[in-house]
Amino acid sequence: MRWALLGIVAALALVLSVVLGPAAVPLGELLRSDIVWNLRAPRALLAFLVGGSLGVAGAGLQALVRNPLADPFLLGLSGGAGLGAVVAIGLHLSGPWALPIAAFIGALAALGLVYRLGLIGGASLDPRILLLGGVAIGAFAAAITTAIVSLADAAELRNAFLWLWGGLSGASWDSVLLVALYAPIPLAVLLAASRPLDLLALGEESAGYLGADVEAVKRRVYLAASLLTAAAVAVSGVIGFVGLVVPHIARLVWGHRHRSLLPAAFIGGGALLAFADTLARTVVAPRELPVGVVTALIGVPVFALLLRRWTIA
Amino acid sequence: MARRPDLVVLYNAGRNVTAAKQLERVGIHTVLIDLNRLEDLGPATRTLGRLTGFEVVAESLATVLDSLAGRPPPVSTTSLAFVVWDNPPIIIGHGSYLDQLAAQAGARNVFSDVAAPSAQVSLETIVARDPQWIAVLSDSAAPPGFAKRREWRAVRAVRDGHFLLLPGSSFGRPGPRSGEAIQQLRALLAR
Repeated sequence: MRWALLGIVAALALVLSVVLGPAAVPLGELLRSDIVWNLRAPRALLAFLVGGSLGVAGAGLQALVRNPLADPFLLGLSGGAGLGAVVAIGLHLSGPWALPIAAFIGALAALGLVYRLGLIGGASLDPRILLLGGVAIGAFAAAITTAIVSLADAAELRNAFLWLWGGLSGASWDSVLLVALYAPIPLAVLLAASRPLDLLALGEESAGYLGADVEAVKRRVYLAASLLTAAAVAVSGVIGFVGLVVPHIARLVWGHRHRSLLPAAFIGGGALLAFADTLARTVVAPRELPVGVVTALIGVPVFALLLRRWTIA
Repeated sequence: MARRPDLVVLYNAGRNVTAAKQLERVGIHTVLIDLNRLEDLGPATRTLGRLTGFEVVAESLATVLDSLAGRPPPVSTTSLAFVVWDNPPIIIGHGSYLDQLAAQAGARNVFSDVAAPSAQVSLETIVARDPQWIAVLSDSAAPPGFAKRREWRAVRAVRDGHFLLLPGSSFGRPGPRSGEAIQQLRALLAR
């Protein structure tokens, strides 16, 4: 029943995002409309894939660091991606994929640095250092980005921030195909780690006694979640709250078993982002809101409710 | 402050208002100037003329600039959209001098119903409004980078290569060159 309901919600979010938009497309012409086929449909699918990826990455990271406030963007990836994007614009790199590729490289560089910091105490990956290192590397990259933007003459550099705030305007069938081919690998890695992630909730030592290869799981989960987030930020900028709130909502309904939690977080995250993007495109039409603003407007009250629930419990 | 200017001219917006107050407080004469629309040009010129001792010359220039803003626009024969950024798409609305330049050149800005100087819109809105031209501020002769992006090819003007590449020196801000900018835009539209 829960899965059927989630499926209906996801299907509804996708249908609404294809049917609704700032341009008036009569229902009878939906299937023939260029706007629907070339703009709305890829955008809806990309929103679903990105939202789903962020939901799963958030659920995986929260389990890894055993911290309910862990968000995929706390790991410094947004700062690295932003720096990559600004450098690409500053160097006038041309080509339709220059910005996403540069952002992806920036995110990977941040990932590498944070990972290295996580190993600073020895061969064991310390989740607390990962979080702190992520915050530090993200802040460092953001500071360099701001310095470049404020010292540069090019007006377009200031617009890089608009891209970084998140949005799905760049959605096309190419970007959908790219994410659809790329995301299943880290998603499968995370899903395969479901059982060890359940065990990690008992503590690293207990998980080890129960047969989990704790160090290998931590590395796999961190790298897979980060690679998912890096791809998401490369095609859509930084879209906050999906990776934070969706795992919590999914945990309320599906419990703490990751074999159910991760698929639920994927479908729930996808539905939330598709729905948020429909709102972003339509509520102030012909203008458009950054989708990150909508996810925050939805996510913050939900998160406040969850906090209240925990406090009472 | 270290350079001890006789006069500081600031664009009237945001933090400049606070900066102007601080400069006045330390004895540096500071003026804030509105420069968003063509009708701001005349008053701004008169203010600068008064403050620099060139009132007569300034009045002469201001009269010409006032006539530029007050002139009834010709009937528009074509339509355009100013695209200032592609991802997310940022367009120029009615609140910008560029909207006025387009009208004076005989073109209708398809986003003149947007009151703000600029706004983020969905790509599908641009497709639906179907401008005949996409105007971009660019000092290059090459089409903008987004012309190659698959999603932008949904815009007819992009597919047809109908770009108006407007040099920043004439179109980047409202000023004494705005009259020249109108002539340039008119010539580009007549190609």
